[in-house]
Amino acid sequence: MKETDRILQLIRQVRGRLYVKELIFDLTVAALVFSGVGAVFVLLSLFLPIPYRTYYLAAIYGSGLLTALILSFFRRPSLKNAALAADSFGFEERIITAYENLEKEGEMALLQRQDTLRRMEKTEKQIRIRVLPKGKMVLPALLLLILPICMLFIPTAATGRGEEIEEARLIAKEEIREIEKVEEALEKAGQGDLTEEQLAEIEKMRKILEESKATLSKAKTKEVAMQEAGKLDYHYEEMSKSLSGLAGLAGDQENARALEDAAKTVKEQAGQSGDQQASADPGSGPSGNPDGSDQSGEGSQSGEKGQNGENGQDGQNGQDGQDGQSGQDGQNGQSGQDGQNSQNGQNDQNGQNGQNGQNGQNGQGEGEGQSGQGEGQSGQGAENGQGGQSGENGDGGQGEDSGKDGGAGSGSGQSDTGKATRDRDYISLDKNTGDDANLTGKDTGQGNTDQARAQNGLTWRGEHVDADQVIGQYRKQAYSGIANGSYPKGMEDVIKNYFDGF
Amino acid sequence: MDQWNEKRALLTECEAKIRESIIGMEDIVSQLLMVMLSGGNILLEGMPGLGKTKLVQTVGKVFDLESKRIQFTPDLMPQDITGTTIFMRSGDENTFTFRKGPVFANLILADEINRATPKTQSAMLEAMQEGTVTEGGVTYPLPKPFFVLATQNPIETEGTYPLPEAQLDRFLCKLNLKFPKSEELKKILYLTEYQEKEKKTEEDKTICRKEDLLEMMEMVSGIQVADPVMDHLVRIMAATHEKNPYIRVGASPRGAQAILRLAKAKAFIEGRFNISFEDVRYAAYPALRHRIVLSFDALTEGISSDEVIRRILESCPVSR
Repeated sequence: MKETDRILQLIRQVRGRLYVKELIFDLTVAALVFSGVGAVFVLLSLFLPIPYRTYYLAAIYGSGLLTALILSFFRRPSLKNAALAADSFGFEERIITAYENLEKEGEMALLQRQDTLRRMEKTEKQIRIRVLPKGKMVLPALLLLILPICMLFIPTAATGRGEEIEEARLIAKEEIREIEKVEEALEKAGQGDLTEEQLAEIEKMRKILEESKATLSKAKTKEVAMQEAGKLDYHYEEMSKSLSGLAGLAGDQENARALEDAAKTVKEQAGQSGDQQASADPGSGPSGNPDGSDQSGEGSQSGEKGQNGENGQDGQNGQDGQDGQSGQDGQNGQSGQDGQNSQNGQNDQNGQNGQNGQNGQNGQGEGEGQSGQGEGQSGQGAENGQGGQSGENGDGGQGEDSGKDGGAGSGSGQSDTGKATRDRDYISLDKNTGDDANLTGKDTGQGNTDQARAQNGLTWRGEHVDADQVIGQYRKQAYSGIANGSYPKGMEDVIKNYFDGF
Repeated sequence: MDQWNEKRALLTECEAKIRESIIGMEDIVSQLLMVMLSGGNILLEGMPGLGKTKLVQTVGKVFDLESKRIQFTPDLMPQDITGTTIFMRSGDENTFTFRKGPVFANLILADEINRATPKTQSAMLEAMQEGTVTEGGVTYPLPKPFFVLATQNPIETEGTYPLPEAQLDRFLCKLNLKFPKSEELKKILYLTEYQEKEKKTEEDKTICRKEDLLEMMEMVSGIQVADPVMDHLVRIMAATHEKNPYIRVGASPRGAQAILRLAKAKAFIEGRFNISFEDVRYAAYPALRHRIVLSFDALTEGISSDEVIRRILESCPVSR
């Protein structure tokens, strides 16, 4: 090997090690700095609701890594630097001088190179570049790197709230995407040769969508997002109908087709919207019913299949719109108990009663003002019918929302095993008044009734359960309730008759 | 390479020989050799009786150099140094002949140079800088090699003419002679009072010829310097001109040349063909200590030139 090659080889080796050293150093410094930032961020997130904090933390770490890589790239040592570094191991600037004179051929340059090589033979093994930074630096960096990750697992109210916002945003995002599709479809439909009325109708639809979009964008809770999604679903169906109607009236075939297409798109979105809502909380049905998932399954089906009608009666209970809803929402079944409790925090008893539709009374009785807004949702599942009865019995009578389904039950009861968050769509039926003879509540004209459609539960996920099993479980619970004296006197027979009727 | 090693061995032998006669002064001997290899002149500052004359005589003998001593006094005239043109009658022929002064030697000891008048001091300038003497419009070259070792007493300042900065700048370096340590003093006494006569014959022995010294000087001038080392030197020089409460005037570019030449000589003595950072830092003291003009603050606070240079070097660490 030539003298110059041998010197260059040594310099390159040193440069490689210096680069690794620089990289590790930069990574360590970046770990210290960015982990510190991450720790502060996670600490803040324990007290302030910050959605997507895991992603933010990952982004902070990613930034640190990127910064370290970029820094080390730009600070990578040159061959000259490497030669200088090698000289610090007792070469007394021989290597840097030789490196600078590599191209020179004079006597002095030759002698200097030979002198350098002689020195290399003696001293080369002394070149030991410490690649790892000092322990004092590495240990804190590692600890600081782990700290924010560990802190992520500390549960606080703020973290829960942050997650909730996260979910709300996720739902809102999906819904907004749908809205945009619908808007696009409406835009296309509106480009045709339409009458002023038709255009006004489309404009109205757009306005509704814009409002929904604005609401969704601002949604801070899952409930708000879901509620808006439910409303949207209703609006989609209405729009679909309206567009189909407009298509039928359109003289021009092309316009009719455009409107039909728009209607179809809107209809599709309505379907998708339902799916998404269900998928937003796929486990809530079963989790609400650890024991009686079958019931919920049925309940949900029935909800969809227009047992709402019955619920309407429940709604007439008026005073207790909650029950009405819950009827629709068999899913919530047992979780209804908690649902009530959550609304009517005061009424623990009611909560328990909520298990049974019959106890809807209680729900009403206690829910009263709140139930006017439909919160009690306990959804006693299949027992809605009885809920209806209770409605009759309801003395609360405060069901100002006396509509068919008094109260917009937003069934968000929690079961023992988990959250039975709201699993339904709601369709507002403004100021509809029940016409049931048993209606005892007052019609204040203020109540908005909500019709709910169950979309959760095992059936929603395509699972099938045995109806007899469900009924059996309900029956067992009901009877044990009777035995415990959980139900008001005089209701025992009603309950027994109800189950005997199956 | 062999030739280099040979010369270096010769130099080492010379150094050892000088050390036999000069007790202590390790740094002074090394720096004296460095200055000689660089072809420069030295200003020796120290108390009387420290062995300055002895040092010059020894060096002259070891290197086979013709050495002269000039005692500077206030009445010393320039011609007393450079020589003068005198009227000569040879038969019928009358001629003016230049009679060479004591400056025409290889090694001049200008003792107590600050006692002579500035006019006389400046007579040394041309000799030191150009290596020539001009008299009556004729320029006479001085023998090669040519070195001036000037001395001055740091405490007796009455009746003296301190050397101006321009003249100080012409000395490659300034060496401070210190009082010997007890052990060294004891050795000096034994050497001068008991062994001197015995060693006389051996001491007179010449080890290195003038030609060898000139060859070594040629070799030293070819020593390589890397760019980062040169940068370091420049940084040090620039630092003498930065705001510093203890410096009134920084070093001239000739100071940088002096450092470089001394560093080359040091590298040669240590067997290298290149200058190291350490060479530069080592050379900074002798090369700059008489070139930096200290401020009033430094004088009142008792801060020496060496201390100022040390602080400058601290402020200019080696960057690898």
